[in-house]
Amino acid sequence: MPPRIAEIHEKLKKRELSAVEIAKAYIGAVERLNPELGAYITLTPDAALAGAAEADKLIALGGDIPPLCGVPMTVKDNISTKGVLTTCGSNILNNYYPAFDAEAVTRLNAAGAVLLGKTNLDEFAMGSTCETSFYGTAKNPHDTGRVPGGSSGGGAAAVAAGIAAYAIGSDTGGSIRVPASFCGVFGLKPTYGAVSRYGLIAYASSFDQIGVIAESAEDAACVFDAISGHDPKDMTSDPFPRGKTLPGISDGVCGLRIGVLTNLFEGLNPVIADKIGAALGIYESLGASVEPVSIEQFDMCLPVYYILACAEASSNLARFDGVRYGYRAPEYRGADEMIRKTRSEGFGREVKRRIMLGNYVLSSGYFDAYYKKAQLTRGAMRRSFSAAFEKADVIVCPTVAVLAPKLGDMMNADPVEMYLTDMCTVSVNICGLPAVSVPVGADRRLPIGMQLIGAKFSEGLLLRAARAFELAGGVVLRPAVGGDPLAV
Amino acid sequence: MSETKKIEKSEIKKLAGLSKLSLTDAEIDSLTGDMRSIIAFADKISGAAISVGDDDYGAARELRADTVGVGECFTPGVLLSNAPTDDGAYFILPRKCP
Repeated sequence: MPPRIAEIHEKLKKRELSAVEIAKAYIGAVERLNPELGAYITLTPDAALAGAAEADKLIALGGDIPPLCGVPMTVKDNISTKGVLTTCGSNILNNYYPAFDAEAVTRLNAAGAVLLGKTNLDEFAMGSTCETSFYGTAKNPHDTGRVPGGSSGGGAAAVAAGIAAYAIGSDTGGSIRVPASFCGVFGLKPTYGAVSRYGLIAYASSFDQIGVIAESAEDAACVFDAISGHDPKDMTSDPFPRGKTLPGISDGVCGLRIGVLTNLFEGLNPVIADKIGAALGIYESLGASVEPVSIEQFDMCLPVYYILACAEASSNLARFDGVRYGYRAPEYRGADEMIRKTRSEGFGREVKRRIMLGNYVLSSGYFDAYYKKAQLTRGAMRRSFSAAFEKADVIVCPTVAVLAPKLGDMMNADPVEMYLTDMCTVSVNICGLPAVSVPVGADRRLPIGMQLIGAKFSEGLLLRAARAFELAGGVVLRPAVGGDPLAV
Repeated sequence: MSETKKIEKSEIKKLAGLSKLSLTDAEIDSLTGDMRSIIAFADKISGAAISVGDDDYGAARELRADTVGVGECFTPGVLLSNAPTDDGAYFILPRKCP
């Protein structure tokens, strides 16, 4: 199995391996496995070795070193990295080199992170399978004939295969949790405002959130603690100081009230239902109580999400016009034709669909019926979740109601089929809540994820619950491709 | 919205215009089918039961002060470094604007 952050930290602290030796091992593993997995769009071996050399200098000084110092990681390719190609998985940004780092990246650099490269995603994070990327499809390390999930599929595949110790991703409607579930790793979508969105290239600004994909709950906590906190550059950033999540992660779940989200268990795949049922039994044996909860109008989640997210996307993606950065069509007559051709040649089919849906729901004559109604329903859902958290500390449901689909199945289906993949995850983004996907088992070697949803800023509680399950009943899911790069 | 509205090709062309996209005839045909399906799906929102008091999600937040220096400041050279065409001081666009 791939090593966890604490194991790499121990090797560095005890001088069993240097940061440069660890970086070289990971770079070698990436070069061997990435052609098969397509997890990375851009590799940054020089930056990784330079970062590792800096980490070694710090270690040589003696004393405490930050837990992420010298640990190789990766960043989703819609998160800005200064001077490193940042494509959003799109042809329209095939030559874009940001002038600045995202705030999350700045914080990781300060913690001594070693950047291995930028990982694959659905174009502009619009997709649930990682198949809409202009740069090819990422594959699931548990079965390379299947998708890793999306949109942060490259990051989840990289962590599962051991070609990154952890990955920074973004989650607008499930984009961290869905691939974490399909790839058998942990995925944390933080509370809206907990991690700065500065430098995250926007898809739907009131839903987007940067988060973590990792091998364990402890690793996710370690990374979340490093990237969270107030940032004045993001006006939606939470201004209040919050405690770190790692120190209390092993405090257990005795007395925890777990609500089972009944809306998502009707007609659920029986294998997935059984695995989550077994996990609930483990929680009860650890002293937690389990009660059913339901959310009013839960069946409106997907229409609300797609109406509002696409409306925001149509506005956010209007900036891509071939004037200031990115791809420009080679032949045109006049500025208007240049912009139309650039966008038509630069955007893929799914992005065009979502921009057009956004413009449709914002159009005169449709605004009240779609956009305004969806905003009102969003408010009602938020209150319904608040009421549920009066009765439960943590709400449990599946992360995804299906197993990882075969490559191509979703791309050849009606687009609404792919949208249904997000059925269990979008409510969290609609209401700005935190959630974590925890591996709970597998069916025919395909991982299954359980989702834990909490009230705002309850990341510590969620990660504690995830850790408790991991210790008491956690499953070891060995990927078909990949392993421990430090064991070679 | 009690009945699902059928999207016609003319509406797809209009939406493409609003979206600053040029679509081929084949793309219009194919996107017409896709958008019919997607909008029928979005139409489910008509069944949502809402009541007075639900309109509070978008409550106004206090905006940060529009102050120079909150974020990083960049030189024109840095900002132009990704431009497809520039003259060292400005972004360059085609002269003809029909």
